[in-house]
Amino acid sequence: MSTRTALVTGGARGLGLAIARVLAERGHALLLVDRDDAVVAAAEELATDGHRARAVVADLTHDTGLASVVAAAADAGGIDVLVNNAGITRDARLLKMTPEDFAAVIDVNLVAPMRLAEALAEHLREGASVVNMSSRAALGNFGQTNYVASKSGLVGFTRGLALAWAPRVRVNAVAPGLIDSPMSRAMPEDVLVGLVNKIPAARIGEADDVARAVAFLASDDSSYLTGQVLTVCGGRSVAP
Amino acid sequence: MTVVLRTPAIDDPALDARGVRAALLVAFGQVQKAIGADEDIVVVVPAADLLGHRGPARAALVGGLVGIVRAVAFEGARPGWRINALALPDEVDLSDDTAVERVPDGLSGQVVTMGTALIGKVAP
Repeated sequence: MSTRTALVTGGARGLGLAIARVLAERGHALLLVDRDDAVVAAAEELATDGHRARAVVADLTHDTGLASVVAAAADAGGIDVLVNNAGITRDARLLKMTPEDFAAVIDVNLVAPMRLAEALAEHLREGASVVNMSSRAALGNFGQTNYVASKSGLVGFTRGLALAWAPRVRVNAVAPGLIDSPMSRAMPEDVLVGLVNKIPAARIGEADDVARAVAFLASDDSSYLTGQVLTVCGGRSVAP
Repeated sequence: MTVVLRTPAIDDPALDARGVRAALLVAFGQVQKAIGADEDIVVVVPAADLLGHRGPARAALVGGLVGIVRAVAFEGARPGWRINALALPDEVDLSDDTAVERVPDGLSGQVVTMGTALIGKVAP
């Protein structure tokens, strides 16, 4: 059984929890981080299933939250896998988007992962893997100037950090496309069907599709990959 | 008229995450203002930062700027209007307006990379 430790942000639910579960099933001990205290129940659920999981309630946009996560990483004896997954959206057309909406998304989706990675640098073990959660939307999307900027910025950060930290630590990104989630389920059915019809794989993605891609990048199976973006979108990013 | 956006923070060797945030927020406001005035936009960036050759913070900033370009092009696509990123090689001064004039008509939402340094690299 592996003794690797993985830290997953945004781990209380959804994609983050799915990633945590797949990593746990592959033998990782988990530090689940979220500003929502539902992360405590998520960690307890994983522990009930026989996995090693500890919750850290922390807001990574604040120094105190960052410090508590770094302390947890130190207490764990180091980190082998860092998954920067936490993210938010605040959509609006460009001319209606407020500076506050722009900044809030940049803070959570880009600034927090940058600061966390830098803060954890000395706690990442030799051979560690960082996986940053970008998005297919980094290539452009309607009404999401803030989100696209944050996820495209995260791709840039991934490349720069990969070069800066090689060969000690690998840094890659995963860019999910349309994934089944409360957000996608809230779309009008005709809109959702229209989007799915543009996906060559002819289905919406599942959280586990993304989680398995993250697990691949976290594992030694991807030991020759760094500075790359793995787009998990059923082919949507190359379709007409 | 074309509005040319340059971000002085790009050349700050001490740029950090908070600096990236501040620079992106400024760029967002500049783009909003230019769009409101129905101006074409060119965002000038160093090509080396597209792939992180000068460090993670600068790469994050340039990635964010390119994201703004792509999102705004996606949202504002209409005949004749354009927003692009112009990536310049090390040997060209970022303030060189003649380089901006070479961005072809008919492009929008693109990263126009001048020079040869990124041949054979991942397309940004």
